[in-house]
Amino acid sequence: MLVQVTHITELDYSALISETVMELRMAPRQERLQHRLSFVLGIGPASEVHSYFDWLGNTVHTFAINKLHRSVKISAVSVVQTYDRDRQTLQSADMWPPSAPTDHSLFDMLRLDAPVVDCPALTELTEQIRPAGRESLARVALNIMDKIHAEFVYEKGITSASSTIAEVLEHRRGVCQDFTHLMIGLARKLHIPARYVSGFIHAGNQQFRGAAETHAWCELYFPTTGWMGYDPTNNCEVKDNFVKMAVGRNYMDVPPHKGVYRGNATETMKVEVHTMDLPEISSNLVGERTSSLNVPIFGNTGRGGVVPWILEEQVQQQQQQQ
Amino acid sequence: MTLQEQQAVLPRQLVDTGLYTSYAPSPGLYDEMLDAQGAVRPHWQMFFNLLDDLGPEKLHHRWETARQLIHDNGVTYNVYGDPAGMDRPWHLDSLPVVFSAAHWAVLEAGIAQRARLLDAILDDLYGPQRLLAEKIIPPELVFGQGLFLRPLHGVAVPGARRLHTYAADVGRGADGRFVVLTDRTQAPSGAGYTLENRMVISRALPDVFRDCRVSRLATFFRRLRETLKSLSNRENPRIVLLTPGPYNETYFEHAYLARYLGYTLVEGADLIVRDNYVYLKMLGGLKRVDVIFRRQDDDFCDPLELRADSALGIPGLVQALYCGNVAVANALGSGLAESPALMMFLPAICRRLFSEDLLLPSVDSFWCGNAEARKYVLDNLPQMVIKRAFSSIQDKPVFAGKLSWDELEKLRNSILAGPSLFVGEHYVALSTAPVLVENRVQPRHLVLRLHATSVDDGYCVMPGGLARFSGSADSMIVSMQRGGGSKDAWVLSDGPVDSFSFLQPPGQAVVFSRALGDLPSRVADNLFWLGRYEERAQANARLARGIVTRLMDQTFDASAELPILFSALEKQTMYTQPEGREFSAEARLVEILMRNTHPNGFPATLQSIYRIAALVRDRMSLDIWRIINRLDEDFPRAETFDPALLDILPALDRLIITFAAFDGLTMESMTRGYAWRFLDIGRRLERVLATLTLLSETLVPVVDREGPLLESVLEIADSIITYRRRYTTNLQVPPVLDMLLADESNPRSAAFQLVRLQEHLASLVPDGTGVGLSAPERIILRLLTDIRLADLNTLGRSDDTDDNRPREHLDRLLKIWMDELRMLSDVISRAYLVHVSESRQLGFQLSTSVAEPAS
Repeated sequence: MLVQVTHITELDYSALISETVMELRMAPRQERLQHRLSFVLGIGPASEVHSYFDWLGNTVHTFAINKLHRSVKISAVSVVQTYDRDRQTLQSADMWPPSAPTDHSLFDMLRLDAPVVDCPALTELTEQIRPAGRESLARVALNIMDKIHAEFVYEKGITSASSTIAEVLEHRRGVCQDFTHLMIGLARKLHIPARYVSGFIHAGNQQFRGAAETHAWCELYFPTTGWMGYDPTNNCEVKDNFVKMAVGRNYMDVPPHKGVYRGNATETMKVEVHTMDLPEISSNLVGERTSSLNVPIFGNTGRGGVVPWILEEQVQQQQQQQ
Repeated sequence: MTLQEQQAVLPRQLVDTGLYTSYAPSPGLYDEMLDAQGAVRPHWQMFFNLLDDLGPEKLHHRWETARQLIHDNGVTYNVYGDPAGMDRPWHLDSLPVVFSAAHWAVLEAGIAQRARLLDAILDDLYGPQRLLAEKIIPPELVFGQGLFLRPLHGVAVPGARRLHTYAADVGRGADGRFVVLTDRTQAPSGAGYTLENRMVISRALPDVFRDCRVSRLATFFRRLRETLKSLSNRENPRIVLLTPGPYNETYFEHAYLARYLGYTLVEGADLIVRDNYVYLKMLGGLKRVDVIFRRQDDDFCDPLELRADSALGIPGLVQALYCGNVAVANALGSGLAESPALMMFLPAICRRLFSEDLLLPSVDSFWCGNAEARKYVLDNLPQMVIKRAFSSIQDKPVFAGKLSWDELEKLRNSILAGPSLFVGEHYVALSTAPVLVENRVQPRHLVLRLHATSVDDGYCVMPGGLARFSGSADSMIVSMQRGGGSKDAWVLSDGPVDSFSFLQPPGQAVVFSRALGDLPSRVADNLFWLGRYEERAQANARLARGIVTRLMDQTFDASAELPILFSALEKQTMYTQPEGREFSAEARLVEILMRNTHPNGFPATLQSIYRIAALVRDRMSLDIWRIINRLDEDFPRAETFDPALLDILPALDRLIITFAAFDGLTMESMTRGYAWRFLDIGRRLERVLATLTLLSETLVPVVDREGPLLESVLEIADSIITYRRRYTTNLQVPPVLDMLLADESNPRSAAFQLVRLQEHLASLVPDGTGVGLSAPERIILRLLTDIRLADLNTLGRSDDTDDNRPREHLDRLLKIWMDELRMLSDVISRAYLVHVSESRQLGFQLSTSVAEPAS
């Protein structure tokens, strides 16, 4: 499938801020079943963007803004060719329990650490789905997903960005991030390496939770076929309508944007995602480049001019100090 | 005399001096000075004899001088949560501990090998991870803890070395062998204190020091400088010392080392990353930084990549590292090598990587993540010291033998619940050394902190170290945080002593320099505020003294001016009288001066002076620092006593004289560079404000008899003598206004300050963005012209038709001027002190912004 994803992030601040340093994990990954054909990033206020691969192989774009500004806008548009997995996972020969991984880099994907914390409720749930004996690994994975789907309710506003799975297990409610963390926790309890994926779903004319938003699901490690995707929120295996941005141990490794700003201001955030399937690649989207979005900045005051209303604000703060 | 004869004679001499009479180390332990038979060890002989020649009285006297030196130099060690205050004076013992060249050689070789080994381990774990692949260490040791910084995995480091400095705590067991107790690899502290201890002791005992032929420390620091310099391939790299800030326990050392090594002391907020280069914010603009010698923990260094809640870091630093545009020493992530869990594996790793045996053993250490080790620890729990496996510094070790049965069970359970988080160690019966306690020499347990720095082909070990001793003979806990003290460690030299010093050798031609030096913006900002606070406190003290003298002198009727003066003082010190409470005049003064808790009240202002001065300690001469130190003694705090008027007056007098000393010294002994200018700008600005406030509070309202009020105003503004000379006793408002506002020859007048400000601002670096006056210069010129043009006769006249109607015209003008001045302060901050439009005084902070979780 040829999918175009438009991902717009707008950050607004209650007062002028003087510095923003930010990193983005918004570029779809280049993988066997997913080819990124185009990625165009727009940043406002205009700033120079650098990129690198992080330790998990995700593409990271970074930028910094050193002029006074009141909002930051990021637009990421990508065109991705995706393919369905070539074989049904249930036909996979991999069995549970898996042999201990020889690759020590999988250790990170087996460890229970915040927010995927170990807790009595997790142990209890694990015991309910623990296979009695040798079992197809794919079957175990589906069982975990079924269990979550059967016992947990999708509801926004119950959990927060920093919720651990202990909270999810207590409320029996959550959103896709929570279900993903929970599935990762259950898999790891059963010694199956599992990792977090952030990305998008293109719903088309079907119904999917998490479409038109940033979405999350997880991947379990199969010794013979590698990482296989499962979406516990929609209770399905990952197909060609999923676009992967980044993978990590948990959400903390892969937020689409992460940054620091300097200033006494509070932030409001607005994120929009649109996906569409394309009949063919539009020629002007091929190739990767960055462009700038028009977001006003306020010049450094320097020696000569002082923007009057900025000064007023400062004088007030100053007087409060005296 | 043969050695035996000497030994036979010495104990008797000891009795004579009285110093060592009671020195009786516990049998069964190794004592550094006495052998098992109670005889002085040969390498102590020389020191012993020389000290004996000196005699206890002379020693005592010299020691008092040295102690004064420590106090005056402001050597401190901050103890978190210490009610006594932030800075606790450094506790140094007068007797050094002496090591023979032969003993030292063993230590030196062992430490150098260990540093090389830990560096190689880091190189492997942040690189190919062969140690994991070959299962020499289990993956949990690396991935199962927070000290492995994944973003740094695979990132190359300049010079292919991660450990540029290394420190180890070493103890000596009962058998006389040295063992390593802890490794310090992220930002080892102690080298600066070692140096300071050496300075003090060698000054207290110069002759003894010389005659004993003690190895010098300076060579080590030269090596360190060379190492840091080599991390950049630029000709003259800019090297900065990064400190977490003055609240860190070893801040003194950071400032001290920065000065000694000639590096700029910076905090995270002084540095900024632009286009993947690191820059230092200076008054003259951004200056590229090549090497960061950090004293800040790994994960605090970059709030973006590492620890989001760190307010100390430099956002984007890791990016700059990726690009190879900056070097950090020690490399970020090097904290991994200091895990106590690693110790148990060191002999095997050493054989694997170097095909060598580990020369210097670690304390017997058992990581509970290993089944066998865990069993051993649990079976022998009461004999073990239990530590956290992955954070050697923050947590206190638990001496399991001292626990109650319940506590022991609890410990056992937590080990079982997360075995890989714990390490058990055998208890080391530490050696003892003589320490002078209340004029008697007593044995105390000893731990030695040794330092090494990387050189081309390995590591160079500092000949000497920071010896620390326990608080009592029974306690094995050796910690500066828990009441112990420190000693200098002397390593006797076999050959001639290398007399290298950082001072230039005589005879070498010196390049003349009159450079005033650029200044980090933060330092300029701090100096500016130091000037402001100091002047503010001074103005308040003068006003308060005016009130006290009037209260005490019963011969005058001061009822007319006292309420006005009180109200002026209350306004200036942000004091509001609590509702429903009535104070006598005397009690009211005490409340204002001592019990006001407003952040800009008088006590807080005095505290601010001390706090800010501490921030710029490395910019001030020792004499200035001594004056600052006196402030606290000059003006006692309310908690310590219940003051009477009689006590307040001399306290205020002392304070005002100390301020005068500060003003005089900064005027006379600071070079006219940026540092001095910004201090003075702050001072001048505050003085105009104080003068205008005083005039507005006292001369706007009209009272019946203005004479005494005018007299007190002149006295508070320190202009009474000149006034009397000019006008004798004819006290009237217009000439008073002239003296305090417009007279440019009076160093207390508003116009005088403005002229000084004009000079300062004209001398600052122009930014080249325009012609003509800068924004601050414009404000000053406007103010100065206003004052010069003001018709003082009209302003000073009171309305004869209506009694006691305030001088509205004067009121309005003064208010406008004060507003302009406040704006001026701000414009100066904006124009000169901030490169990212941020001033620390405004409380600007770093916040994190993270995408909301997916749904």
